[in-house]
Amino acid sequence: MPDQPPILPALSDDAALQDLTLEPTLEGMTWDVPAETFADHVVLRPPNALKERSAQPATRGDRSGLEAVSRAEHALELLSAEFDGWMTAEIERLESARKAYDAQRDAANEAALYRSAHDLRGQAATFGFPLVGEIADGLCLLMETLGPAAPQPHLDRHVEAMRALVREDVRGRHLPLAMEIVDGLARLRADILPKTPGA
Amino acid sequence: MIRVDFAKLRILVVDDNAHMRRIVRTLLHGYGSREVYEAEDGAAGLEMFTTHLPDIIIVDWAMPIFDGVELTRMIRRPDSGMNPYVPIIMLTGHSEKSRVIRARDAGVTEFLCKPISAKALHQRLLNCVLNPRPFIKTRDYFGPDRRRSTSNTYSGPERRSKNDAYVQDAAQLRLRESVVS
Repeated sequence: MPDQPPILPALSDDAALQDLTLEPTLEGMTWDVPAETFADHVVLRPPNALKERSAQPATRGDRSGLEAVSRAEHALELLSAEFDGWMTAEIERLESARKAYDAQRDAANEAALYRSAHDLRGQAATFGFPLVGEIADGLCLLMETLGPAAPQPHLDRHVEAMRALVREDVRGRHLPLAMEIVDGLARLRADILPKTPGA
Repeated sequence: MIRVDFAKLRILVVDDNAHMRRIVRTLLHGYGSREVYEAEDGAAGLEMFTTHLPDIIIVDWAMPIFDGVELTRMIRRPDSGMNPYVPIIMLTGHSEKSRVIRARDAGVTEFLCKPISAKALHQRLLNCVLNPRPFIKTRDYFGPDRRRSTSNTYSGPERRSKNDAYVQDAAQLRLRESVVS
């Protein structure tokens, strides 16, 4: 059987490796990047391939950017029909994570509860529940600051409050009772969290 | 004036939350994007980055396996065979200053706090396309220039040396030859 040429160069073949690694690997992207070298840093100016490919001159008064945003907002509005179901699913996930952490206070369960609260902190306002987002933010702060030392009753009260606001369909910030719950939780946190300088 | 045709951009969304991925995809389609890929964690995101060669990556911070900051560090390797200059937008629920600085120091191009808005994401994407910053390579950093603007009023010590600067023949430079120490 005739000898086959090696697919990859031998590891000891430095010159061959050098050739291999210097090959440009992306179409339209080259390693020939204009560079200015200074004593302790290099400034590289890669060619703007994205602009070259996707940007076009527009006429004065062009509204394509505004229209793109409007189309996206409209698409999000259509998608919002799904948000109630998603919010319910996220709250159920949060409650499951809370129960699991309560049953076994280990790092994995702590991470799961934190991730669930963190997701709600970012999404609840989009789903129409900004106060739930605020409470989730407070729960994240509690867990970030105290870690495993965060008292379970405090975690429970945050989760219960979020569940109650979703169950009662409290959207926006108009309900005084809901605002009172949010403020009460903030006071609860203030009692156990270290005071920030200047606060 | 310039308009951007999003249909010509390939975008990768890396987020462990399926709802958030769907929201981001919906917005991107609204802007006109057609090629949108999704990954549900950092490892899958890295794999899709190498297989689909996206033009822009939108990444969440908190994810299992490895997070958005770790993913950014893996992509921002000047000796990587893949495009280390790809714009990365960090879309996250974290808004603390310390987090923004950590993301910036990992090489993130743009930072966007949740809750997401159509206008804010659009603006970050336009920045990536129309106003890219140069890249800086130092002994411990490779990524977009962390100075977004020059300040005429700054009076502190200069952290980058300038006096002994020299310019190499840019046209002949290859990235690996010039920036890998």
